[in-house]
Amino acid sequence: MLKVENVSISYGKIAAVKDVSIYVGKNEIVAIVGANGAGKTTLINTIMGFVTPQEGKIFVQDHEITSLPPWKKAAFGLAIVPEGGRIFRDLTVKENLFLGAYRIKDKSKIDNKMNEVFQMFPRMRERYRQIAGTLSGGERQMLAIARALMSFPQILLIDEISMGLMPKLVDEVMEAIHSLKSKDVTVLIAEQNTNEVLNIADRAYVMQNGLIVMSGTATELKNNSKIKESYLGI
Amino acid sequence: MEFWQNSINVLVLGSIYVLIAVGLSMIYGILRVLHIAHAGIYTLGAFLSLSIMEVTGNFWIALILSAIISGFLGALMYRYVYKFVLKEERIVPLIVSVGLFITMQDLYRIIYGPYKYPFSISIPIPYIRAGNFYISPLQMLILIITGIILIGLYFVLNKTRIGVGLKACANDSQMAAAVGVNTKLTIALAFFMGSALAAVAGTLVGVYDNSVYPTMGSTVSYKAFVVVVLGGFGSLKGSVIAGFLLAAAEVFLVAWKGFFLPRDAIGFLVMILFLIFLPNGLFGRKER
Repeated sequence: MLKVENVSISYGKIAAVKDVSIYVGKNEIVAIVGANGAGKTTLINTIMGFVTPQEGKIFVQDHEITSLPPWKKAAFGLAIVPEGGRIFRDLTVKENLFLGAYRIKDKSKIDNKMNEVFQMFPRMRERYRQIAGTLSGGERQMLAIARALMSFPQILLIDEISMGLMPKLVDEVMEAIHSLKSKDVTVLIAEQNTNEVLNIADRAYVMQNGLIVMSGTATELKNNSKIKESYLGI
Repeated sequence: MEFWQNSINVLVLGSIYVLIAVGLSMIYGILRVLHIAHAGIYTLGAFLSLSIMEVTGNFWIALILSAIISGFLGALMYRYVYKFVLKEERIVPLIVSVGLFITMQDLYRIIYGPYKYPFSISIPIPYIRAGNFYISPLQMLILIITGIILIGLYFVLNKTRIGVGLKACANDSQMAAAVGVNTKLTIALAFFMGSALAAVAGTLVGVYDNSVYPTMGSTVSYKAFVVVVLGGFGSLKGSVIAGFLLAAAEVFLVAWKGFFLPRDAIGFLVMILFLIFLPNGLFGRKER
């Protein structure tokens, strides 16, 4: 579904991502874990097209999309829930959701999706006419996910969704992401909260200083002594 | 009676301010660039209308063609000038913009000479008069055109995909691109619309004052800046309200006999006070 081949990205002289290759299969949830500054966000942003890689290639279902601008990547079914949510703060919740469905022309499809999203996040229905900037931190994250879902994504990129959320909300959000599996959405999720994300992921890659240093199924990694020590704090 | 007469003057003057400032504010809202050369487009609009009018003899064709050509030129300015300096520090696009404005003004001087050209038209609008109160056909023309444009703009911004895309770009252009908005096209479109409005304003002022000249944009460039500061950078609603407020301040203060400053000083005085006490303007929000 999504393939990243030997991608390297540097900002000036600083290499943020070095020769990274990853693969995400259809309907899989794949996690990228690692410490702050490991290059996770850069990798996610590169896949979405916010950053252009100096080397390497990115494919979606065998179409090369490496240096396409984000709006063209969106047409390949990519959507992003970026770090901090980055909702459109001056617009209403309604406008944010409609912007998520910007490419969808069929009104009834949008309405159906909207109902689906409301079932997942009933809070969004209550806040429908509110300016998004006035939402609480948790609600903003929910809106960011809801906005991404409105585009009927095939591949959802999620970056540090648990950041700044209280533990109870983290569980809720992770549960929501897990439920996407049954809805035909493929997920690549970058997350510092290793413990939580390994509970919902099928596989994971471990990033350190821009390199992939380890990979495997979530269960394997959870039982790996090195991971336990450095990331799970057990 | 004098009050009502002055109110009409406020509406007319305010309309012009609004037409210019809305485009400036729209461009600032999306690119965070203070587009000084906007006033150059304003002058261009007036000259284009004048020239097209001479050829075709039809004011409406002149107005519309001038707006369209100026709009394209504005979009080209983004595509071939600003786009290359947007990633630099914010002072760089500002200096580029000032340079563009001076170049344009000098170009007009080279082409048209340092003269004032009369621009008179006859329009089939009756003179409205009731006692001492009157609205001239030209005033009526300005009010009607501005009214139509503002309603149209409101519709485009709030009811169309283009409008939603524009608002999204102004909020977070990268994220707008991620949901599928073609941001390059949208920004070019903002320049097109803003520049077309400036050209309409230039034409209307040229006709109203019955004169078109190369430096007619000089005061305007600063006035538009005042309006945008008052309204809050990037807020279109703010620009509209501030445009009329500034016009009201100017008209009523000048009409008041005890006021000793020249008219153009009022705007700057107000701007300085705003920058000190309310730097985000009436409707602006804090810059991140």
